[in-house]
Amino acid sequence: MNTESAVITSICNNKDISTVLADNIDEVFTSHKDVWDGLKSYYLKFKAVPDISVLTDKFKDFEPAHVKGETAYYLDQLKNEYLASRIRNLLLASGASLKTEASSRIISQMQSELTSLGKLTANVRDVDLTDYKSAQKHFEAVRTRSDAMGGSPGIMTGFKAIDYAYPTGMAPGHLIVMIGWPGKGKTWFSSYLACKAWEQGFKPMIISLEMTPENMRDRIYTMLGSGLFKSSDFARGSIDIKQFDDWGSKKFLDKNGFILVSNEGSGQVTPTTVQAKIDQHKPDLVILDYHQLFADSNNSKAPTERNMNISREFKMLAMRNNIPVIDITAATAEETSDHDSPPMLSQVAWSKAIEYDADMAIAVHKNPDSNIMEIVSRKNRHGTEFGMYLDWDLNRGIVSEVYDVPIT
Amino acid sequence: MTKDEAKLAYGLVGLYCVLYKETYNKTAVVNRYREKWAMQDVIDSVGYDRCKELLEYYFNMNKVGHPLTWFFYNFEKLDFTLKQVQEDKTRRELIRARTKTMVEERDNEY
Repeated sequence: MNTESAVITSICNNKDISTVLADNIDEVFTSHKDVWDGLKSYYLKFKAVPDISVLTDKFKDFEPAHVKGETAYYLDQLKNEYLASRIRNLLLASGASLKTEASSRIISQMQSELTSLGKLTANVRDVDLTDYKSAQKHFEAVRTRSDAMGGSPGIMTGFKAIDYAYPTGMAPGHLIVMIGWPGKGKTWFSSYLACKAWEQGFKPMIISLEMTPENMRDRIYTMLGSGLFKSSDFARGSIDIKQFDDWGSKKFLDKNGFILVSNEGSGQVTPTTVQAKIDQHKPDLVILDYHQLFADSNNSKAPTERNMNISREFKMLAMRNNIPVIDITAATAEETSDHDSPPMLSQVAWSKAIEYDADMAIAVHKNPDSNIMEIVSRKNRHGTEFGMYLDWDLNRGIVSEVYDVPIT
Repeated sequence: MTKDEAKLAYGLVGLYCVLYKETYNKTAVVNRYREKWAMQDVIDSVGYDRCKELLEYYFNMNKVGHPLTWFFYNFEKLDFTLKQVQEDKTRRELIRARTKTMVEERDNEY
């Protein structure tokens, strides 16, 4: 039995074309594309699914299949067949290309192709809001999770201003965008959130395309030490090894992992690579440092398109893996902008993507020649706006929340 | 241009030279007689005080060389950006005050 014919016949029998239209998968029809197009245009014109005889009259070659099941069943079969065929072709083509092309280019082409196939495997989830029993179950699950996690279903940041204004915490599926001018404390602040998550028993993973893992590790040690060590001493290697050993053996005893990933400045890192690292390490929080250094899965060349794609793919990563993701983003100043205050969303080139994708956007700005860092929310989908200063001794890793510090 | 107007325009060209000297530690090469006409146009558009603010803001930007002609061609853009920056500053102060109150209230609850 031809599966494309089975889907079309089933639609005509069951009158449920919406099952197929909702998936927006015209490409899976190949041998019966003309019949499918005819059926669709009939429906769009007359707002009704025709009898199968209308199609057999119009398309003489079309032979209806003998079907008994639901349309969704045949559609699922058709998608499977189509995917299998595309994957087979992709593997054959990639294998043949190995003779003439660089492996890195082949991987990139395969990733791009697989991403385009991803839409056929992705499922959308529907919630019927009149099904309040289901909602009750969901609320109970959220409450259980909140109770288990100290009052919030997500990971608390450790800053009162943020935790009170963002009651869900960094919850599963959230994309948090950290915006700042270059060199103004974005990575420090995000790393501090990772430290706080780790201290609460979660497993953070930082993917840094900007710093070496050793540099990032020294920063993290400085923050976890809370004044015990100086960042500058780590950089020079001038620490008391005995003291460090004592601290390490107590601090890291029976604790979750804290993963640092770096590409050491070589090779492209795409959301697919991030997904592979998530699969490998199973983190509770992912920090991506920083947005502009990642490539999108389609390997787009135009910067705005690439950044918008990455933003969307990061959001999908968060939702698919059910974990919060922090996306660190450098603001791109217009010609007339100064760098003296936290950037506004309008000062980010792809701010529309952030407005759509991010659950939370936080602007971070460290004032030069002082320990004062300003934090202000630019978007908070799950609570109210917040703003504060942090008095932060970066070298010693000591930080406190303040509200009344005059900017000098 | 009246004498008083010319005085104001000369004054702002002079301010530009002072800011330039502070930034680059060298004297700006400016034809004050010619530039006063362009400066007068800026004053006519945004007023003397705003023009002064814009000049000061201009030297906060990372524009290489801070050419005076660039300022004359882009003062309207600068005016728009500075307006946004000043509004945002006020907004952030308000948010910070609200946040402080929220934290105090929540702390008192527990």
